[in-house]
Formats: sequence, structure tokens, C-alpha cells
Amino acid sequence: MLSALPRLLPALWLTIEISLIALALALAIGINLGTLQSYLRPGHPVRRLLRVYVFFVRGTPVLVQIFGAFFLLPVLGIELSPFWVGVIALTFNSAGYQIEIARAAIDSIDKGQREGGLALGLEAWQVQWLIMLPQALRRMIPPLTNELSQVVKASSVLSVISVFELHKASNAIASTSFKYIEVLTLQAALYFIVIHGLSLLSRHLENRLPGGPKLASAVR
Amino acid sequence: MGSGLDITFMLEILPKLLKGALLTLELSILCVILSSLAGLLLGTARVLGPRWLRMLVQAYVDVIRGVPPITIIALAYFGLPEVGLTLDEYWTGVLALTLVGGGYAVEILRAAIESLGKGQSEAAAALGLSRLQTYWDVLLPQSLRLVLPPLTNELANLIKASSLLSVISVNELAKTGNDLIFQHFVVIEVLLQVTLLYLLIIGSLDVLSRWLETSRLVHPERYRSSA
Amino acid sequence: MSGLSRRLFASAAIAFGGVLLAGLSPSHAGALDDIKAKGHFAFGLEAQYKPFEFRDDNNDIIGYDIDVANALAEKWGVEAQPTDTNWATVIQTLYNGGFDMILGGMTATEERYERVNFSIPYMDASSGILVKADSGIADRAGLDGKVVAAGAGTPQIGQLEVTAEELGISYDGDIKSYDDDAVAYQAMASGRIDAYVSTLVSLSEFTKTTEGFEILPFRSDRWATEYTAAAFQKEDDDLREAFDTAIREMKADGSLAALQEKWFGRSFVDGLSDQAPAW
Repeated sequence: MLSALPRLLPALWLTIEISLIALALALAIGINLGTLQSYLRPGHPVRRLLRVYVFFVRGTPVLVQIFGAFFLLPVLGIELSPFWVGVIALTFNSAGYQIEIARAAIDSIDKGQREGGLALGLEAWQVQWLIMLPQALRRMIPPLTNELSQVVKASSVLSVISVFELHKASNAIASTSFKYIEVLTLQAALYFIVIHGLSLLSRHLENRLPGGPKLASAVR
Repeated sequence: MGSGLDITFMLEILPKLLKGALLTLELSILCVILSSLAGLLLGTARVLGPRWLRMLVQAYVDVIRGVPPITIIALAYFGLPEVGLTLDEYWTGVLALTLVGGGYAVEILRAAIESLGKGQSEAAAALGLSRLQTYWDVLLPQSLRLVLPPLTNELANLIKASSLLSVISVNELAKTGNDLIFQHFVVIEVLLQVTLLYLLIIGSLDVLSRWLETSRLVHPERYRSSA
Repeated sequence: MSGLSRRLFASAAIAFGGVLLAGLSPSHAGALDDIKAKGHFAFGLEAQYKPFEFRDDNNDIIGYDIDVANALAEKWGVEAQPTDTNWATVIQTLYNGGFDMILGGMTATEERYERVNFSIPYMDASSGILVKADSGIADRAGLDGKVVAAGAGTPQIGQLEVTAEELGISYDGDIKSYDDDAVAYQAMASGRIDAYVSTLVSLSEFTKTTEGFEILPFRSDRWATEYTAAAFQKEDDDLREAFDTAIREMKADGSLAALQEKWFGRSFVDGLSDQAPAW
């Protein structure tokens, strides 16, 4: 059984790589959009638009979002390798959840902080960058760790667009060796170590960094 | 290539897509019912059972949440025949999704019971009820109402997960759409309709879930007039 | 002389000849001229289709199509650039200008002919049935009452449907389809399906390395003999004809057969029609 391990490790690495890149990009997007959502009044058209985006991400399966990226990007003239199509799809998906994480984190910071900063003569952008965001990011670490485990789970679906991540590689090996139960079990074990490990880390960090939002994980 | 959407084509393929959507719904509803039952069973085992049983249930929950659904589906598809249980792809899919859903159902039940607060358990103990009676006659009935909103959410999650059954050749909505794309070399019209169908189904469940959360059914105590 | 200097001499001769011809023939702004002016041509493929095109351990694209393209490039005195793309939208990308031609193991079909023109066939694309060696299935008729499968979205699904109607047989359940060949092979090994229909070529890849399976031919008068051809934009006649000329030369001098033996284990040149598939 373990003979397949050396051939699965590069694919596991690809899984982790693609998930980290997508998470980072989605964080950059999510933080900006989340801040926006936090500060705009409820009826604002941009806020409404963001809600539509979140509704779309939560209301469709990851598989459909991945196929969407896969089929539509070339139509728009954008030619990318399956790896980068996967990054875009996972980023699109994760950002939809990270808007909420960011918004909740920002909302959880005492409004007095912002007022105090402005009262001290700081510009709005300085208040944002020097006071609000550092605190928000700190509170986002536990849910972000959990979000990474969700992205890793979603990355397994990239197998359908021929990205050679762990699930696809495991299929390829199983089809020639026919030890599919063993290879599948190995695949499950490798995923478990990463995903459950991240969940445990997230819960541990939650205890050490209190005061932030807690978000239940959901099946994507 | 054309400048607008081919509406005629969209109407032509709609019946096939609706058939796929129906299968998706049918499958998912079946799975949410089965996983709720599984969740009830396992959740009870976790509260009332001996230590080893509690650990087993917790291990099951951890594994389900720690492995991607597509892997679980593949394991069910190839693994079950090895232990003598060869089901066709539809029922294999139902089994796999029930396993996945069950893991979350156990947690939903646990959260519901915990939200009832310690007061109930203490009062029951003070009245001389055993742990079993407390659980079965006091906590559980009240929990059943509380689990309705999160279970609606769970149904939405299962509907999304059911799209993964396309890899084992189940003709649900996502696979039907994919096959149509390759058959006709048309992308946008198909994706648009598939997306709208999913949004419609899941959006409706969202609305249902929110209504349930505020309804009399789930929170009768909010509607009682003060004594 | 050595291979390198022979190639240099040939390139120089072609370039010189090309300049001469360009001077002699009427000026004709065509795709081929653009390519010669640019010094390279790009060809579209999806590097997931062994042994036509796939990535080796260094992640470089190799395969039958790459070798054919390089042979063309040598004849035309330019460079060949393989362009990895999404197969489902490859025709769209051809017209978007992503590459000059599609050279990716594409099977010529009537549906595709609506949008592209094909070269003469440069490889066989007929279908085969994969069965376990001890299955007792000897031909198409033997599929009666069996569980059959094909690749998701492939023409083979339609062929199975036609077969059922043509021979008056019926399969056990619906025709299954998988997006990943690997899953289909596992399904066959585990007994979930009895037969898997795909191209002879991709099935041969599998049986090359795995024991216990055999491939049965899957042909019928009800569908055209299938060929692999290069695809061009409808208006690129000059480029297509140049491609055809090159392939004819390679058939005549044995170089095409040599490439096929290298990648497929045997030559299919005798079965290749000399006519470009058209409908």
C-alpha cells in the first residue's frame, strides 16, 4: 500500500500549493470587500451587489463554479493552464466566504476604536490600515485556518478539469495498479492529516485568540 | 457564434435539465432524511453510550469532516463491492451522501441539545429522572424542533454535494449539463440554466430555513403570551 | 553529413527555395505566408491525451502530435509551438487566434466540420471495446445484456446507442459515462462495468501496461470510419493544403509510419484515407 506514497506526495504538494495560493488571493479580495460591506449602509447598491455574489457562491456547487471557470475563460479569450483555472475558481469560491469572515471580524472590533483614531487626528485610511485591519486580521486567523481546510476539500473537485492534484493522481495510480482500495484509503488518510490537522489548529487558535467571529464549517 | 443567447436551444434542453434537477432533489431529500436518522442514532449513542462508543462516533464525525466528499464517494463506489455490497451507482451515491450528511447531522443534534441549556438537565435530575429519561423525554423532543432550520441548511449542502455524484455516472443536474455541453458544443446557454436551477433550489431552501427560524413551529415559546 | 548539418542544409535549401517561389508566385496573403514570415506556428492541443500529447517527467509536452508538428516545421523552415489549451473550447480558441491550427489528436466529425475544415487523416481514430480477457464477449453483438460505458461527452456514447438499435440488442441499464478514463478502468477491474468503449489508441495505451484485458474492434457502416486529422479555420485553405502535402510526403517516405510505430506500436498508414474528411 505504501508503495504508492512516493507518487502521491507530489500531487499532495500540488493540492496544498493550489489551496494556499487561492486562499491568499481570496483573502486579499475578501478583506477589501468585507471592509466595504461593513462600512456601507445596508441599502447601498454595492453592498447589494456583494450580497448577490455571496448568494451565487453559496448557492451553487463548487463543481459548477469550476466548470464555469473552465468553459467560460477561453470564451473570454483568456487561455490558462488547468492549474490556474483551478486557482481562479477556488479563489472565486473562497472569497465569497471570506467576505463574511472579514466583515464579521471588522464588526467585532469596538466602534470606539475607529472613533478614537479619528479623534486623534488620523486620516480614515490610516485608521483602517493601522488600527482596524491589524486587529481584524488577528481575529480572522482561526476562521481562516478553517477556511483553508475547506479550500483543500474543494481542491479535490479540480480533478474533473484534469488538474493533477491528489484525487486525480490517486485515480491514475489506481487504474494501473488496480490496488484501488489501498490507494483510495491512502488518499483519504493524506487528506485527513491535512484537513483535520487544520481544523484542530483552527480550534486551538480560537482558544488562544478570543474575541473573533466563529463560523461553522459547511459542506461546499 | 451569434450575438445573443440561443433561447430556442435553451428551451429545447430544459426538459432534460429539469429531469436532472428532479433526480438531484429526489436523491438529496432521501439523503437528508436518512442522515437525520443516522444522526439521531449516532447522537443518542454518543450521549448515552459507553465510552468506546462515544469515541467511535466522534471518530466517524472527524473522518467525515476531514475527508473530501469526492473521496468518500469513490471509496463507497469501489470499496463496498469488496465487502460484498454491490449497489448500483444511484444507491451507492445515496449511501455515500448519507455517510457525509450523517457526520454533520450528529453535530447539528448536539448543538441543538446544548442550546437548551443546563437548566433543563438539572431540573430533570432534581425531579429524579434518570439520564436516559432526561435525554429521551425532555431534551430530545425539544431538540427536534430546533434542528429543523439547520437541517434545511444541510439539505442545501447535500444538494451541492450531489453534483459530485457525476463522477460515478449518476445523471443528476451537473452531469446532465456537462453531457449537453459536450454533445452540442454549446457552453453559455447550458451553464446559465444549470446555475439558475441550482440557485432556485438552494435559494428556496434558504428562505425556508429563515422562515423556520422565526416560526411558531420551531420556537413556540416565543409565541406564548406571558402568564 | 551529420544530422544537424543535414537539417541546416535542408532549412537553408527550403528557405532559399521559399524566397525563390515567393518571388515567382503571385503575392497571396495567406496563413502559410504569415507563418513563414513569423518563423513559427502554434498548434492547439490538450496535453492530457497519451500518446498523442502528454507531459513527461520534466513537464515538457511530448507525443505523436509534437513529432508530426516538428516534421512539418522542418519542411516549412519554421518552428513549431505546442499550445496547451482547454479541449472543449479548442475550436473557439482557434478562431480567437490562439493558434494557427489544431493538431491535437482530434477526431474528424460532422459536427466539428460545421466549424472547421480537416486535413487528410494522419492517424487512425477508430473505436475499440475494452473487455476483460475472460469476459466471453467476442464482438459488438456480445454486448447484449452487458453493462457498457464510454467516456463522458465522447462520440462513442452515440455509437453505442446506434449499435443497440442496429443490432437489436439492449444493454444492462443506461450507458454509463465517466469523465476520467482511470475511473472507468477501475470500474471494469472491480466488475462494475463489463465493457468500455473508447478510441483504439487510448485503449492500447492501457493494455500496453496492464495484463488481462483485450480490445475488440468497434466499427459499423452506420458511422463513418474515424480518422484523426488536423483542423483549420475554414478560410485557411493554403495552410491546410500545405499540411496535406507534407503528410503525403511523410507517408511516401516512410517517416509517418516510423512515428506511428514509435508511439502506437505499429503503423496505421495503410488504413489512412487520402481524402480529407468532409460532409
